[in-house]
Amino acid sequence: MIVETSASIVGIFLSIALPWFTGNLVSRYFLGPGYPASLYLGHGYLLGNVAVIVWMGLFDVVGVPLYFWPILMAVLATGVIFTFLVNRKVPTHRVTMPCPQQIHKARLKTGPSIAQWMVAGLLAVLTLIQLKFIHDEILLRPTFPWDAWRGWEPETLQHFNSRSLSADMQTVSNYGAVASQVHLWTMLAAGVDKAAVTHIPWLLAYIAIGLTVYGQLRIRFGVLQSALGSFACLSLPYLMIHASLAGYADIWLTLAFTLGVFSIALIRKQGRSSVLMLVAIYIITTLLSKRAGLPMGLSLLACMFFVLVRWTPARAALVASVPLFLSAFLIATTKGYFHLNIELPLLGLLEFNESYIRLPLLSKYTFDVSLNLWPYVEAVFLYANWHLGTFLLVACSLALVFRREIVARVAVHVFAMFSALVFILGFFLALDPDSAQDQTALSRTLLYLSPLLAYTITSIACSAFLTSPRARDSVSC
Amino acid sequence: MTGADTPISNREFLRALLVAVVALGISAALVIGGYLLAFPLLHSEFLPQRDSASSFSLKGKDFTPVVAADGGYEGDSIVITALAEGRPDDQAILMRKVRLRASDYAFLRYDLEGRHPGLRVMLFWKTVAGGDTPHYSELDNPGNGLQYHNLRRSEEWDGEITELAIGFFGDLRGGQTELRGVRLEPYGARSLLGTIWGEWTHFKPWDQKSINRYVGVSEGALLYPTPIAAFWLAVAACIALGWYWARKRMRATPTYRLAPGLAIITSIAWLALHGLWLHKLWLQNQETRYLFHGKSVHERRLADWDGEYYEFAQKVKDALPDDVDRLALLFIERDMFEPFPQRLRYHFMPDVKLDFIRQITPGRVRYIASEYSYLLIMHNPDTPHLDIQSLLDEYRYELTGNDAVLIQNGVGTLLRFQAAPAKHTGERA
Repeated sequence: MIVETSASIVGIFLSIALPWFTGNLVSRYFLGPGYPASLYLGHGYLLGNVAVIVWMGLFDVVGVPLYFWPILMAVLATGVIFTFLVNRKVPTHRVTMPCPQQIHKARLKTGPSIAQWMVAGLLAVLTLIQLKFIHDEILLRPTFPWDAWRGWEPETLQHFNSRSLSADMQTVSNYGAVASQVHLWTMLAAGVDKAAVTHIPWLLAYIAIGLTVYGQLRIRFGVLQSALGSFACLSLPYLMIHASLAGYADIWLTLAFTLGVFSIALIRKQGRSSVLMLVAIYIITTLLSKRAGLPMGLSLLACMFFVLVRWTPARAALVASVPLFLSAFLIATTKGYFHLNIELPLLGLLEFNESYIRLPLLSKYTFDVSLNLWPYVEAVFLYANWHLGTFLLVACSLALVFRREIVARVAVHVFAMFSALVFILGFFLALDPDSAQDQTALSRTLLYLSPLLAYTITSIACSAFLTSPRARDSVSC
Repeated sequence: MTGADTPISNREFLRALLVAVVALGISAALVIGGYLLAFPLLHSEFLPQRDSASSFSLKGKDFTPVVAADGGYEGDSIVITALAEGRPDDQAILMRKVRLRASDYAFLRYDLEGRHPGLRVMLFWKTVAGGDTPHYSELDNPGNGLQYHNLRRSEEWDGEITELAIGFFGDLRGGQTELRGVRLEPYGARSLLGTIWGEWTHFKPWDQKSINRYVGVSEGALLYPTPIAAFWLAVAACIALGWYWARKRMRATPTYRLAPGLAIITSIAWLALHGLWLHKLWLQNQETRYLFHGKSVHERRLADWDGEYYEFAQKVKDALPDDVDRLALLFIERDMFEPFPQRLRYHFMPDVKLDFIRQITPGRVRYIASEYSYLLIMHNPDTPHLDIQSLLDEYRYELTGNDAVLIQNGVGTLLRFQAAPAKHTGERA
């Protein structure tokens, strides 16, 4: 590891390990037992960092200066409490679904073939190469991305310098707490501010995304299929760029949104209240990531609604009419028939008229409609951001037509992508077409969906082709 | 790994691998063949207007250095060992008078050694119609050796060409660059495929746009690799399915028996794209290591893309008294707001807060003179030598005897206002 000599290696190690340990326990508590360790680890990394952010916020509110060791002790105490809670909790909603690997284990006596070892080995080698490249980039390069040095890192440096969450010089409005405070936490741990090693959480966020996709697939599929899905996700160039050029909040929002959707997909299998709590944490985390977290948080809410409602034809018709009603309302408002002007308590003014929309706590967006769809085609199908991901998603959608029993298994993930795309397209088409035309923001918002893309492709392909009929019949999760 | 859930034996795997490789091979032949057949119909502008058009070759020794610090001829090649000083980059230009029709040639084949990301290479040309006005097209960087360039990328490649030149800009990094030769070629399958491959393997180091999207090809490329790979995969999958169907095993074999072949086809196509990406990432890794490996934090910042601004910030910090923790910055032209003033602010953090960054106006100069003790004036990088007295005269501020220019270089000027109060009130202009 190439680390600046002035940075505290022990501090950095503890700043990663203890919150991750705590987050792991928190995820075990909320998800319940029986899931793959990798899934807990994926959740655990973000939850651990959320715990750190919460503790830093509490310290700051009560006026305690932000120093590494007291916060670490508070996080450790949280871990101890959750250790107790996890061991005490009676698993009322234990995962009872038989997993295919268990069925096959019982059915097949033979071990993995040489071919399977070769594929697994190839994936492992490629993943290690990728991690090495990202590792070098993060630990060698000074802060690189524009928004980081231009926007939030100057504020983080002030936080570090003043050991508080206040800053005399405001430099940013677009970023929330997550990326900047995770970075602040590593600065506090390292004892230095501008060292490249303080960007190491971006590498870990990338790893956490891989673990999460692997773990979620592992619930239903075997090691090799899950590893393929996870590799598909980790090999996406654009995700690797956001890990390598550490500094942006997008990878954190990607992680939070993915974990939120995966948690929602588990609601029916697990006790609702505990997983709902987890989803609530992720919704708040998406909102705290950056402005773009608002539509992602709303998508998670829509997903939760989608899962929790007992669907009857009447309710489905009612819900289907909502977008139509909203569209009609939107058109009528932009044509000048309505004006909305509401002062929301604690939040501020919500304004909606023919010229602009003002969202409380966020910003004012002027309507600037453009229906030029070419940038979307470029970002989705032509650019090398996602390798073959979007093409395979289209192909897998065709598989859903022929194998309709698979639809239920990926319905939440597809719905999440769809609802997020509605927000993304609505934003770029109606409010900010320039940042889509010049490709400064479009791919970045699509990044949030990339782990779901890899998961959905793998899940559909494995369900349709790779799983034997016997295993298919016995899998109901 | 249990692996037991994937019911495939080694024999089945090898059979599926064979089917996949054959299907992908046939698919590649069909896709490439189809593209080569369709290309002249889709892009008639690449075809020469005369049937007699033939390639035009120049060896390295046929060029004359018009701008270069050092170098010479070695056999048929020309070697550059040092670049001449220039702005914004050091440079060398090799020129050759010619007389040829642009419409005869669609591709440039060139043989060059000593390329790296710090050295940009450009093709220049002059035309009869354009007179002395040079046109240029930047050559992609797919690496050393024989490479191709699409001349039709530039609309100015037109008319009667009177002069060709190859320009090198940037830094030789202690090495040398060798031009062995260039050849202008009419449309041909080999040069077309060579050009596309060069555009796909072109490497450009990270820049500030890298975080926005990953295009995967150079600007102006003929084809994107992603849809081509998708098409290649789709045709191969159809061939594999056809093979299964032809052997009438579709009905006898459970659906999942098709899976290994399709999975391998998909994986190979995915890995082919991933290979292109990892190749670029590897080159980027070499570039990053070249710039930053084995260096202290200070040295890395000096080696970064705005090293001179970092260095300037350190000089200013050293020149400021310990009790000064705020600074104002005025830049001269409107479009200078980004990125360098912001980079300077970042480099000053956390010791000094650059909390006033604006374009220079008479009112703002007066405001800063009254509210701040020190002022940074940022120069236009293209016109670095600034007469600060004339500039301030222009903005109706007269330097007093106690005011002083503490630092002045190509980045900016640090002014001290002696008459200013020691403390900043926080009021804004």
